[in-house]
Amino acid sequence: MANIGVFVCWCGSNIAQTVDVVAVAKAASEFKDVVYSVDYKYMCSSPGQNMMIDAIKQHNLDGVVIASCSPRMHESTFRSAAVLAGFNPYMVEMANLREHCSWVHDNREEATKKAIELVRMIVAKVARNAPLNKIYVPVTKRALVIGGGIAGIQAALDIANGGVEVIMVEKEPSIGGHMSQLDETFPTLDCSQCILTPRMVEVATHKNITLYAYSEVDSVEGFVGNFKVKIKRKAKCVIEELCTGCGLCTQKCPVGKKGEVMNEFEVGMAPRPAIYIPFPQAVPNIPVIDRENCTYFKTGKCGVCAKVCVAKAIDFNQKDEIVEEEVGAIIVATGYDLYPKDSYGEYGYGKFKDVISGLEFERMVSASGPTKGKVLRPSNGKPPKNVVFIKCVGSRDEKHGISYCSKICCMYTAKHAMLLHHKCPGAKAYIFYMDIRATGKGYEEFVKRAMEEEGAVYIRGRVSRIYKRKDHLVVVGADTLTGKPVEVEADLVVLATAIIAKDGADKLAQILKISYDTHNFYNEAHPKLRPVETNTAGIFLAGCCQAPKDIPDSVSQGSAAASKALALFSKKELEREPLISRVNEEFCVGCLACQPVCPYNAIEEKEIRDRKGNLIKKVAHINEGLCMGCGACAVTCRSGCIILEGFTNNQIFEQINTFENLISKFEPTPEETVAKK
Amino acid sequence: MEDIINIARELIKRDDIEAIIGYEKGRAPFQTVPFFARTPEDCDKLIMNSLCVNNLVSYINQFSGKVAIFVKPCDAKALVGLLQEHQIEREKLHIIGINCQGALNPKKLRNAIKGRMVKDWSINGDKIKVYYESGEEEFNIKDFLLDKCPACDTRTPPIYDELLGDEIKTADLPELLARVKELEKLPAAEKQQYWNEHFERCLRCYACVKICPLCYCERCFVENASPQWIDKSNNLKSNKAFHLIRAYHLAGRCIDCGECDRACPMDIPLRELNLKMRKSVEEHFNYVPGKDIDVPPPLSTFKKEDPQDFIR
Ligand SMILES: Cc1cc2nc3c(=O)[nH]c(=O)nc-3n(C[C@H](O)[C@H](O)[C@H](O)COP(=O)(O)OP(=O)(O)OC[C@H]3O[C@@H](n4cnc5c(N)ncnc54)[C@H](O)[C@@H]3O)c2cc1C
Ligand code: SF4
Ligand code: SF4
Ligand code: SF4
Ligand code: SF4
Ligand code: SF4
Repeated sequence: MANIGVFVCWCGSNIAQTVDVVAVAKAASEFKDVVYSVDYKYMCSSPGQNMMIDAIKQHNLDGVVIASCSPRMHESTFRSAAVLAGFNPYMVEMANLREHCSWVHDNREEATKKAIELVRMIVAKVARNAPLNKIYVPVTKRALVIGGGIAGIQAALDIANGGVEVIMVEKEPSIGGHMSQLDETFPTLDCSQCILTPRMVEVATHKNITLYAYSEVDSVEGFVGNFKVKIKRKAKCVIEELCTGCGLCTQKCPVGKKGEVMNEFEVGMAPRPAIYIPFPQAVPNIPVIDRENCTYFKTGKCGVCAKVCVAKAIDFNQKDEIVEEEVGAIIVATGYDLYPKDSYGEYGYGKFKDVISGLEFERMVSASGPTKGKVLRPSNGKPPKNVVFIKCVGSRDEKHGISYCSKICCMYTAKHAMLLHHKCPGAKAYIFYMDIRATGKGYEEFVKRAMEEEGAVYIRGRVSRIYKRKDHLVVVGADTLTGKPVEVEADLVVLATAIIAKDGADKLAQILKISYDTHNFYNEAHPKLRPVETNTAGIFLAGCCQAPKDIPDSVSQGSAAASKALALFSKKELEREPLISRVNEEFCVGCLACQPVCPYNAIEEKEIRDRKGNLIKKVAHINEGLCMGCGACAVTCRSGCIILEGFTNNQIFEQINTFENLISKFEPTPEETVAKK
Repeated sequence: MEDIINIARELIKRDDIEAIIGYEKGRAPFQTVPFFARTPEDCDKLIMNSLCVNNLVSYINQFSGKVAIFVKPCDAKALVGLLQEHQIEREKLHIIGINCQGALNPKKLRNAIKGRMVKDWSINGDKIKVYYESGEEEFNIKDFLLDKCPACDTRTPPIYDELLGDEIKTADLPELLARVKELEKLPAAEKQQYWNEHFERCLRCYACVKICPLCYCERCFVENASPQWIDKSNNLKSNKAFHLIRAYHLAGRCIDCGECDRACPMDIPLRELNLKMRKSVEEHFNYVPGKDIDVPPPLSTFKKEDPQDFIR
């Protein structure tokens, strides 16, 4: 049937050095269906591509095999060139003579033999290829951003400024994330709130952004360009439209006065009422009633807030509500959590009041924090003299903690030492460290400044134990540089606890059908080349939900994810590769064995009815907007009724048969193999 | 027998039930055949005894409306599988569970009567009485059970709407996987030879596929022409491929009704192959097919904590 042309590439000397390309081209010219076969120095160069185009026309080719490098490298190059020649691009296939042959062998003769067989197999496949056409799906031009930390804020603003509507969903009563809890930020020591608040306000006021705070994503259906999202809006018990944000209710609420309810924002260092705004700069600036702790919800009596509210904004009868939104792209920016404080018993967190976490230290040094910016010992409220900072608490500790490096602790500990120096003159910072990782712009200089100008003492080594001696904490460790044990008598110990995935990250991933690693951080599609995409088309990542990172990196990723979404929205329709699976409905028995194995949830049940509407049978149906052509379903179907276009059973079977005919000549039979053992 | 006729007569009166699937006595000796009762009178023909060996579940989809069906534990296990695999709609079924103390192997019985002409037979308790042209003879049912029965731990159907009698608990059963463990101990070459000798004899009649309640594919892989996965002719290589692929298709699904074993005209020990798969699935995933409709079959689900240690 076919007129196949074979083009054997030298790849300079990459292939030609190990494979006799001339011999391969010659051998290929004798294969069944091959009508034209040549070798050329660089097939991917424009003369190389033109050679292919000319040959297609001259020899009336209906199939092309480029025997060169990996299809991941240049498949798109040759397929695009084919389009220019008016040739169906899916009739072009590549035989990989470089990664699969010349680069991994050194015996020229054997490698040449193998190259010939690789080409023979692909020729057999191409003879069974069919022309395919691109698939087009419509796009809803709206984005969903999940998580209103700095990463999510950046992404939302970039998209909204690009003229596209954004829905932002934030779990907490206010956006801002961890950055809103920080004091000054490395490496420039600018005030976190001062640079963040304007952006938070911009989110709230932007005409293209709809903010759902105190809300969570409940379910996601659909596929790239066409997601249907259900969002659960938790009842605030405050009518947003009426509330003026005066805060009177939060002052009058009787709850929290005795410290029975602590403010999450202040990392438990200050109480809060049952009706609260987490922090003064909160966006939206509207209180919520924490129903678990509200006296009215607990006992049916109180209602003080309702009485004092002039705007009549309190509504105890508000119910959680589900809203539905349609979006074309989703950006996940759900951030991180910190390693549980009490996991390191030997550091005495929870046992000794004066052992605190880095985030607690941030709140302490923050002018708006519970100590009004003063560093004070929680045990007695006095300023400390010696402060020990311990890095890598949980991080890089495969035995007790997690294997990875949390990336930001080296920097923020240096920052903490400086802030201590500034805000608590006379206090001395001792830093226990394993290494110092300061690889960003201006970072090394920043750490150096902490050591040289701000008097921080760096001790290389792990802390083995902290115990109490009278009024002090004795930190026992080993200085691995001098090999000597060290003891520091401290008044305050600050633990740089590891960054871990957000609690519930795995559940959200399951809702979104995106993959996550063993630490529950979300997986990017490619660690280098596709760092903000997920394996699910149309869903992108930003910030610490993907891995620990600092603010500059989170912001860059937010912008990168936004640009991916905007690129997606720049088209009227999405063009998709037609290399996807199809169900042969005639033979499908509707067992749906294929459904759970599809990593992209592309398979659903479909009813086939006759003209009168009587059910004939139920079969599997593959959504062409969702299928990524991975083929998992095709191998699961017992009766073989799933056809993966471009890799049909016929194509693969013929490829293997071609190979088998060859190996059967020297391969031992199973009986012989058994006998040998 | 009274019980089942009474139940059936009550059920057929209901508007929503189109037919009752059960057994009637067949013409050949020791034969029972599937029977569909549609009227109260039909119901009188229904029987239920230890010669009711056929699995009736494959008849359910011949009816468009709701049906009532009598099921032994083996049939019920198949039902569980078929319901899990979306082949049957639960709402269209009324399941009458029948306890089972073991089913008779008609082949063994026929051997025991040594070629004499059988006029009739009747079952009473644990005895079967055979009436010849002249004279009669009584046999103990437990001496003629199907191979699958003695070690069977499911004496009450795992799924039913109503149950005849009370649930039966089992104790002191012989080990189900004894034979598999024995075979596993053979050196590889002997195992190879053992199976080759069996596969060589296979006629490729596909009686095993036809009778299997879980082989419901509209087009079995053996029939596929494009590509033709395996050679259609009867030779060791393709017979082996057929049996191994079929065993994989039933891994984690075969409910051990033993119907393939019973149907095979060449006495190929297909159960041994399927039990080996059952053993592996149970070891790796702690799952036995046909037991519990709410536990999803492990080979068609993906869990992060699935064991991976067998991937080498
Ligand atoms: C002690 C400390 C000091 C630091 N100091 C610095 C510094 O000086 N300089 C610097 O560059 N970096 C610093 N960092 C790092 C900085 O906090 C992070 O880089 C930054 O906050 C990451 O932003 P994010 O948006 O990815 O995550 P987050 O700030 O964690 O924001 C995530 C947001 O998503 C929301 N969310 C989570 N789950 C859901 C859900 N399921 N649905 C809806 N919303 C959800 C959260 O409520 C939160 O608002 C410091 C970190 C710590 C711990
Ligand atoms: S009703 Fe609840 S929220 Fe309002 S003041 Fe009383 S305790 Fe506080
Ligand atoms: S090819 Fe992969 S993505 Fe497509 S339907 Fe099958 S399993 Fe799903
Ligand atoms: S596995 Fe095959 S037969 Fe079963 S539903 Fe999927 S396509 Fe149909
Ligand atoms: S052997 Fe496999 S393909 Fe054939 S009917 Fe059984 S399950 Fe289907
Ligand atoms: S019933 Fe027996 S002979 Fe027939 S195909 Fe199956 S194993 Fe072979």
